[in-house]
Amino acid sequence: MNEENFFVLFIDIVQSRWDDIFVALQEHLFLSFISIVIAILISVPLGIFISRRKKLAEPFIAVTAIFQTVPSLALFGFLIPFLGIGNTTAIIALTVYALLPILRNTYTGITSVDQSSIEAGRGMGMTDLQILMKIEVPLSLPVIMAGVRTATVLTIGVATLATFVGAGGLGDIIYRGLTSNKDELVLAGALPATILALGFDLILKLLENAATPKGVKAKK
Amino acid sequence: MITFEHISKKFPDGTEALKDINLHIEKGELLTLIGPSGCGKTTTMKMINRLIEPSGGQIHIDGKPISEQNPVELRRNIGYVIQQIGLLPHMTIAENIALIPNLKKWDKNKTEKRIDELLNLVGLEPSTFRSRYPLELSGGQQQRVGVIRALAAEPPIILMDEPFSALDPISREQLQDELVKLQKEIQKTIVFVTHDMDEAMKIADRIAIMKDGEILQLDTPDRLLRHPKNEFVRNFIGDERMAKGQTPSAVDLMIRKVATVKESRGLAEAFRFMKSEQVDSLVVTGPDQEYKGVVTIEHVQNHYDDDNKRIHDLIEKVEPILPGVLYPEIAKRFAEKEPISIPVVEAGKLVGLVTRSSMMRGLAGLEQHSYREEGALNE
Ligand SMILES: Nc1ncnc2c1ncn2[C@@H]1O[C@H](COP(=O)(O)OP(=O)(O)OP(=O)(O)O)[C@@H](O)[C@H]1O
Ligand SMILES: [Mg+2]
Repeated sequence: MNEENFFVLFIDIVQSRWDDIFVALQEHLFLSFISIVIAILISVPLGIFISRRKKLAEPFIAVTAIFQTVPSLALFGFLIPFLGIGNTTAIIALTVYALLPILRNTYTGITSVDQSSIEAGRGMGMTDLQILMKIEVPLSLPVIMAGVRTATVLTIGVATLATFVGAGGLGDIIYRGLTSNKDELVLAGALPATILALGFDLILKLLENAATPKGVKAKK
Repeated sequence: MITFEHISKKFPDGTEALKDINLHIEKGELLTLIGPSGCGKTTTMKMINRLIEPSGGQIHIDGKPISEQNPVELRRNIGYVIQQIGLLPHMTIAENIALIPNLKKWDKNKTEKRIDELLNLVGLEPSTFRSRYPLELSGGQQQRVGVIRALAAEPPIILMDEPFSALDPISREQLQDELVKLQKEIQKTIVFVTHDMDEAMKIADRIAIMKDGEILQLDTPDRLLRHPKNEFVRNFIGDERMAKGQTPSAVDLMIRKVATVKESRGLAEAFRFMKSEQVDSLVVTGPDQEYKGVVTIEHVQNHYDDDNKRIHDLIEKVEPILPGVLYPEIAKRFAEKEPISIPVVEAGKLVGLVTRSSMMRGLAGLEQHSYREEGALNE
């Protein structure tokens, strides 16, 4: 198979399978997005909580770190006996993967806020909630956002495995390409997944910059 | 106004930071806590706004025990300048100053006006500084903002923990002067921690000398100088002054190298000279150090735009004193007429200048700062 031939094949397949690819892309986005949102909803509050009780921080972070060392394919397989196949299984597995970067960055971000800022706030009569919302969160937001970005890129990659629990996504296209021995079809699934990951990386990088308070940027 | 009754503090790690502190701070008083590092100054201060709870004893404010008050409410009525400044880096200067007014839900207009007023008070031009961020300010400017932030909501009590420690000597003296002036105007109860005796002497109504979690002596600066209770206090105040054992006179209290200017000079050059010498007034002299009067930086600034004005036109005839005039007399002059400084003149010739800070240094038996050798703007 020569290069030009492959390229033509690739274009052909993208054109003929466009509908499939588009559906897979939507599924992929859906799975990744839901998982990230759930991971944020769990990890950010949990990160804040363990920053208040430092003794709990180590074990929590260790547990989520262990989740992440489980090979992704094994994790999907492991969940099937309990949850069967389908979106739920995929979302749970992806969420578990996304927990660590967000949890760790939230914890690091909150605990590294300058103590003198917090003491000043408390001394001026801010309540604990006000200290959290007006001092700790704004000052650690860039670090938390960086965690979200890492988690997102990771999740979009791992979501290609959702096909094995019947949840669809771009993994479907890749898998079909593999089983039918069509490299151009594999590429037609892998390329959108890569572009998606890079695109989100860029968007979230911009958001991270926007989340950095102006007065803190001034330092640099 | 604030009363400590048998206050003690033992930290969980066993450190005994305070032992049986008894203290009464009057309304409108400026009390300084002074002592070596680790003696418990900060701990004492943080008890007043309940950032640290005592292990034993009671603190009352206006007769009410603070342990029964809501700490958040309590703190909103106590200004607090922390040792590390603690400006919030993600908020502008205006937002930092507005923090407590906003917490207290002040009217927007009132807060905005207050911000300008306070910035002006410490010589930071509102139009320039309002929208800046703390990290865009020098250390001294940040410390000023830290101080006015504590004043913002007009609390009756202000706690200041080494608020001027990060400043160069000149800004420091300036801020001390401002604080003394402010204290006279606004009559707040101020608790001020320092470990600089000069500073304490200069600003305090009373000084509490602390050591190892105890107050060794609590007295007015004058009484501390005259009747130190023990060896530690005596050493702490500086023994040189004690050894003399006599009332100091103008000669002991003055700077000898005075920044001077000739009558014929223009305002711009005089202004530049004051800036470079970091002084807020110049003594005007004629040939052979003949004393003519004083010009202040305020005056020069006010007439700065008038190209035709010379130093000659702005001279203030501040009444000079003789070198032999004694301290009580000088102190009285400062209290009554509030001059920036008093020239010391003998046989019509300038021999020195007494400023508030040179007076305090002299009283504490310290070396006088001197201006640079070439401290004269001559013809
Ligand atoms: N949270 C704490 N836990 C244990 N010990 C503490 C704590 N805070 C202060 N101490 C100890 O209590 C003592 C008094 O501390 P404090 O901060 O009041 O000193 P200070 O007089 O303000 O000193 P400095 O001039 O250095 O600021 C010190 O020995 C200090 O180590
Ligand atoms: Mg201290």
